[in-house]
Amino acid sequence: MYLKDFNYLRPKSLTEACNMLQQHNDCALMAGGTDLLVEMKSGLRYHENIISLAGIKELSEIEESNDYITIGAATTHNVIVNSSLLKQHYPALPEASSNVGTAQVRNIATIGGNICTAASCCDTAPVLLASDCTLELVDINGSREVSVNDFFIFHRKTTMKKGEILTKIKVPKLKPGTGISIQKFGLRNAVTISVASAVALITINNGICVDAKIVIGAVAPTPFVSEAASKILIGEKVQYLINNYEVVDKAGDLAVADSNPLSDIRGSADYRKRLVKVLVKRSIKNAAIRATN
Amino acid sequence: MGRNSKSKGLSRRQFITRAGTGAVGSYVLFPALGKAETKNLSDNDPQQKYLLGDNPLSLSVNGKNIKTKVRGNTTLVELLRDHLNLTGTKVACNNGECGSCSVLLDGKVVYSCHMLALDAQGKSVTTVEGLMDGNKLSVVQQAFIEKDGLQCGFCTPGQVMAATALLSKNPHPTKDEVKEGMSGNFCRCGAYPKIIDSVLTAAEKLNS
Repeated sequence: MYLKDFNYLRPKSLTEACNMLQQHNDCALMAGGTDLLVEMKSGLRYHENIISLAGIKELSEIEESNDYITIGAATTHNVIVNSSLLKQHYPALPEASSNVGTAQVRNIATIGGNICTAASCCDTAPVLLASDCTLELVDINGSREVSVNDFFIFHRKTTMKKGEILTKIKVPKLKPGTGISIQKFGLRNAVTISVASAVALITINNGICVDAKIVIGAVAPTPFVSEAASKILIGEKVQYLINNYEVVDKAGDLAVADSNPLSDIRGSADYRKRLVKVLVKRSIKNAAIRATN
Repeated sequence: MGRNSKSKGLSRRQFITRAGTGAVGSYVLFPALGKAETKNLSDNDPQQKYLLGDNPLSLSVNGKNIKTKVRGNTTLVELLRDHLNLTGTKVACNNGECGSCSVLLDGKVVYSCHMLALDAQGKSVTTVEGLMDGNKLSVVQQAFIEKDGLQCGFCTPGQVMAATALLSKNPHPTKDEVKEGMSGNFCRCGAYPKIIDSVLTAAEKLNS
């Protein structure tokens, strides 16, 4: 498996990259390349021009502002896993990034690549969906912001237009009294693709759940927030959530009703539906426990 | 892939073929061969001319500065093995899954088959050849020999690089942390228990 030759372009700045995207017809952006190179080697896709983002420094910075942590799209998973800023303000993202591939992959693969590939089994997207993160897209005419909830259209399809580059991911800092839990089920412990995954975000105030988001992944064309399962939890006592009362069971059933899984090599649709219920219940319980601590 | 270097006497590749030993085995017998010559490409060599491209690339490999011109589609492992004759790094899956091509890029372990050589622009690459200190094996290499952390030896250079990176980040790993840290490297002989032993032994030695 060898790569067919292509024209390698290495812009030094974002503006230069935008111009290159405009000038060349058949081109693809490459951040880490861990997905792109595999597809190109196996002949699934070919581009005459590959624009490498490796030379643009501003794309791999993590910055703090009052309410947000802003992550450059070309930040590698390994940097996210070790970022003290994220560990302090949004620990779910380092946890999600640590689930990606192997040490070798995490040192090269980027969070922006993970999102833009938009696989339904993507590891980082469910965590970003849970707290409604904002993505910044830049093209030659300027920039626009889009909510991550509106970003994914279908498996491997996003709202990104031709000529746009994902530059930043704005993650809101976790408020006190909020807990997030990630439940990923793969066929083994390490180096595995999700068969199904669930993320729960629970905010509590005076022992009552005031905000909840249930995200499910790998069981529909895109990961998404299950509105029905999220709504039913609001107003419930946190003790009910921790102790697996009926409402948790109901939330699990509603998430299953929302899901639309495929049968593939990793599991049948029926198996995935059963998994979703279990994973959602586990994530609610763990998120509620984390929120109380 | 690799072609014989024109250096005097036997090249490393020829030697290993004749001696019929595996990667670590050759180090045991003749540690001096561990540091293979890295050389710059020249336009005069017809074989090498075929490999050359239009994209200028400068990087450091095992402490040596390399300046060359490569094609866009050259992967890092092709640069190391075909252009620089550093055949200690192995290619098995060539698809970023098995780990036998693992090298250190600025001290972090990466799959060298899974990134473009041009993306290593200005960076420092360490291959298994670069771990030795003169004629002396690194502690990790020595531990793999002592604990017999291999069977056929093909995955061993990658295992050694992954272990080196793991121990530089986490000098006191538990058995589970070793399993997790080495999970990107497959061994189809199934020598995993001894590989884990080797890494734990290397950690002990490095800490004492």
